[in-house]
Amino acid sequence: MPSTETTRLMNNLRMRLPGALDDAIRIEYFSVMNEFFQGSNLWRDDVTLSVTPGTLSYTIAPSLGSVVRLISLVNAGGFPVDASMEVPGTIKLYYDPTIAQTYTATVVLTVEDPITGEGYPDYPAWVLNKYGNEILDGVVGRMMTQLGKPYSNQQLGIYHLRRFQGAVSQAKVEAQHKNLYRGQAWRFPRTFTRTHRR
Amino acid sequence: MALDTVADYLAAARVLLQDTDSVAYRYLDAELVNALNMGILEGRRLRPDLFFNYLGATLPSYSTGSTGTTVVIDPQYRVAFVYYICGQAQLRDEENTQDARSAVFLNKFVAQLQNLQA
Repeated sequence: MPSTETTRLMNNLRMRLPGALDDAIRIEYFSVMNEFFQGSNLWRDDVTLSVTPGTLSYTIAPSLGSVVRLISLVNAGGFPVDASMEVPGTIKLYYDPTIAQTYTATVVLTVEDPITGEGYPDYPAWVLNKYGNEILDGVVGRMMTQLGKPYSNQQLGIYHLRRFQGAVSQAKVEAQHKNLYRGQAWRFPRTFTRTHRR
Repeated sequence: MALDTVADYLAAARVLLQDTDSVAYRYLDAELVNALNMGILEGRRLRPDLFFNYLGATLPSYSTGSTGTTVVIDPQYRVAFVYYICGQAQLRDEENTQDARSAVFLNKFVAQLQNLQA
């Protein structure tokens, strides 16, 4: 049974997109959430991995979602460790660990299959609570820019997609500030600028 | 009429075709079922999302031997397929009035699948 928030979103979409089929809405809903999470870095998770000397490559598997990119990797003492993730989900250490210990990787996640039994993407519930209207804009925009449908409307679709893109940017900033109001709202005075336009 | 089964579609189409005398039908069941199957092919072309579960697979096809079978079309678009059956059936008539009526039905089918106001 879908959550109250999902039901409200779906009913809102059905009203705004007369003639749309639920299957088509669900497909676009998944795409919108994928774009939202990949663009905003909003959905993060700390995944632990046990490293051992002699092994540089480690595969991580979060309990929910699919890994998009690596934000940071720290050792047991909390110090940063140099690593890369060319293939999402596989961490490659630059240097061989000297002792066996537990590292913590902070990764960005996005939605993935399998979806829920009702066919909806599975992600933390607070995201839909906070960004419900923005997600609505994304789905409506993508649906309206489809060709040859009763709900096709290029102008309105572009309008909604612009609103959605703005929401992705806003979510990205809020994720950087960890939803802290006026977090890092300072900057150096101009006299500290190292380059000058002549 | 809920337009669930093949029989529902045939009955609805016969009303519009003025062909409800079961003793001497003007249009055979087989012809109307064939028209429904062709409508599904056209529907797939115009609205792939209508046959979401059949994308990349064989489309459903119906026969007179199983008129109790449920037709897999979203309720919002079932009436459009009745119009297609009527239009396809009347294409065989040569009279001018029937040609015009057939065109109306077929155009209405396309319009209902693609336009909100149709």
